[in-house]
Amino acid sequence: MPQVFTPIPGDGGNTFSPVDDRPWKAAGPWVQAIAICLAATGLSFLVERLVGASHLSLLFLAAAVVASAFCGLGPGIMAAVLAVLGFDFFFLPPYGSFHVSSTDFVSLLLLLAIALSIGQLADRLRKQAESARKGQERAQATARMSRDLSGALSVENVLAIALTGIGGTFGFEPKISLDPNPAVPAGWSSIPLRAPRKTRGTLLVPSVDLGRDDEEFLETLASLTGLAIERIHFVEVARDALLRMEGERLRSRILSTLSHDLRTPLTGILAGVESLGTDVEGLDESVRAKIGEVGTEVRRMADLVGNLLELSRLQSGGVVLRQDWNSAVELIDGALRQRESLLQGREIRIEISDEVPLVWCDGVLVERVLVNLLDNVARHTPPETSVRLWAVGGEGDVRIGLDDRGGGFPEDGTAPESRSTGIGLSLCRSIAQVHRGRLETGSAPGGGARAVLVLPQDRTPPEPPEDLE
Amino acid sequence: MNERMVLVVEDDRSIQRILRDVFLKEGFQVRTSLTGRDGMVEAGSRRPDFIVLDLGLPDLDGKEFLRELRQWSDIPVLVLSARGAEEEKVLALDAGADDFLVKPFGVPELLARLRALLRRHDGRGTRGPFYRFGQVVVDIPGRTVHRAGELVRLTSVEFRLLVQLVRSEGKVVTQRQLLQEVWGPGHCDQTHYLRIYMAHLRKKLEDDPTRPTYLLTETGVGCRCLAEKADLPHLEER
Repeated sequence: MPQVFTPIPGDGGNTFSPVDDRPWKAAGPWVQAIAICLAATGLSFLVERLVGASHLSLLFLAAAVVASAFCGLGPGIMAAVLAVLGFDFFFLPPYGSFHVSSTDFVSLLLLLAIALSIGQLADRLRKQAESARKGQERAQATARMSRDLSGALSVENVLAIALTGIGGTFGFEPKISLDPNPAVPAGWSSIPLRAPRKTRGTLLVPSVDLGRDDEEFLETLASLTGLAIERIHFVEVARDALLRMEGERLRSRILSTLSHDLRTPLTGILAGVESLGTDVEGLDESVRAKIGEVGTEVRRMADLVGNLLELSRLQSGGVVLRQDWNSAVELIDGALRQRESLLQGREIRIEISDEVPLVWCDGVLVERVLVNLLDNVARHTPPETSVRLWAVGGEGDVRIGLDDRGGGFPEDGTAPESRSTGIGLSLCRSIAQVHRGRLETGSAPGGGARAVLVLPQDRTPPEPPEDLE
Repeated sequence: MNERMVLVVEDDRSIQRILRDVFLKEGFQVRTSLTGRDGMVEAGSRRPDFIVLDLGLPDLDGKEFLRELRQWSDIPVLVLSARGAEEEKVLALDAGADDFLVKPFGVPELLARLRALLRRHDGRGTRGPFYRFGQVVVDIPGRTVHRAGELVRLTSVEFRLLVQLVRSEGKVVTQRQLLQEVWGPGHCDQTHYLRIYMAHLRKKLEDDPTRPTYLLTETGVGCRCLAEKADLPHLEER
């Protein structure tokens, strides 16, 4: 989006004008110099009787100096020459001719030399005064603009201030693009808005010859603008980061409060139900069985709550994985131990070859995947269904799989209504995703369902230190 | 039982009541407090034999409670926490908790943990030279390990790791503690050492290394070995 900003009309700025555009400006000094020489000649005629011709040379010298001082170097030199010639023509014998005697010629040359050198000095002084004035004006303009820019609160604000400031200072209408490399129209030149970190945009100005000082001045103003844009950029970055952090903190606080609040009553129910089963004497077996069922369902509810909270934590983004080295054996065994009672009576086989490398992952989350897969099998297959857990290390990944001889997952990979544990499987997929892996579901070779957690691996654990027997 | 006292520090009244009933029925004296501050005062004045601590207290972080308690007491503490809060458990264990139980928990589980902790605590101070689990006998001074009467050759690191585990008698030892004790303070992040050496130990000492019975890993927390002190090594089998 190569946005180009132009100044807001009617917002007057400063009145520094290095380009003097009065019409007589270009020819003016020359005319002035001639006028001064003419005036000196006329004055000389008037005072000739009083001072004597020889002293009139001082009047002409004065004319040349005045012309140099006010009209610049070229007109000053011209005035010096004109003054010497005029003095010679009108006031040195033979009058009315440029002819001079040899003694007069020497004094004329001297006069010319003095006029020229004083002219030079006067001109230098004038230029110094001029540049001092301009420098002060530039400093003032810079100070004014940086003061205005420091109060700016948005990029738009900065651009408006920069455009009016630069436009008012130089007398043209600049444009600013936030693109560091915009298309520059013909007749315009571009000046980068440089800031310490990077170029923040481009100032476009009509291509006119400003002179070195003013070009530098313009570059200063441009980088001032760039600096202001960068400041606002970082203010925004910092604010966004703060907001995000605040949001994450709030989310994790809500989730942990929710977790605590949801689990507490479940803990109470479970402990209550179980102590009911043991406390009350002479309970009917069927009542006891029902109490057991309530207990099982409460645990299931707790798992569901756990899965739900974990899922919302993962899906809200910004999850920090606690990754370290885990072994497939320990993860599988951990999951089986968590579901020991649920899987009682089933044939469970574990096939893990010695070549399976350690897995770099968040062990708690991966174990959670396996627990959920085991839950799925336990709840949706007949009790005699056998389970096979396996792990293989492939090219750049480790696969941990679970096969059963139950109904199987459907071909399209989604769980059908009858064995849907929507949250559990969604959580498994989310956990696979945050590990940049995937959960594959399908049919096992010998019938039944297969679910495979694929975890990409791009590192190998360093060797432990040497160990002696 | 011989009138032991248990202190329950739990902010939820109904859970507190249920725990109280369970413990009373088991023959304990029970003190309860709803906040960590009260709990600390109770622990100081009543000197209970055992503390059940909820990690989610309103006034005092469970870890702070433990750190404060451990400055003057080694009363066994069982912490109650939610699943998924493995980090919390590790911090609590490192701060001095003896064991943890995941909410919601069953009553038999709770009582089993409690008995194991009390048994361990009763034998404290007399850190035994011999430990036993399954068919395995560990002779720490003799630096030997026998399995079903047969000498098992262990490397020095394997032996050091095994000693750390059996000495804790079923208590979870955090990964950090194990790495620090066995490999040294500079190796606390090298969790793969533990994975590798636990696998070695299981292979040498467990009947089925893929379904271990005694050398267990609590994923994200640490490891435990269900070992007990043994009176005598099986000298006759040496």
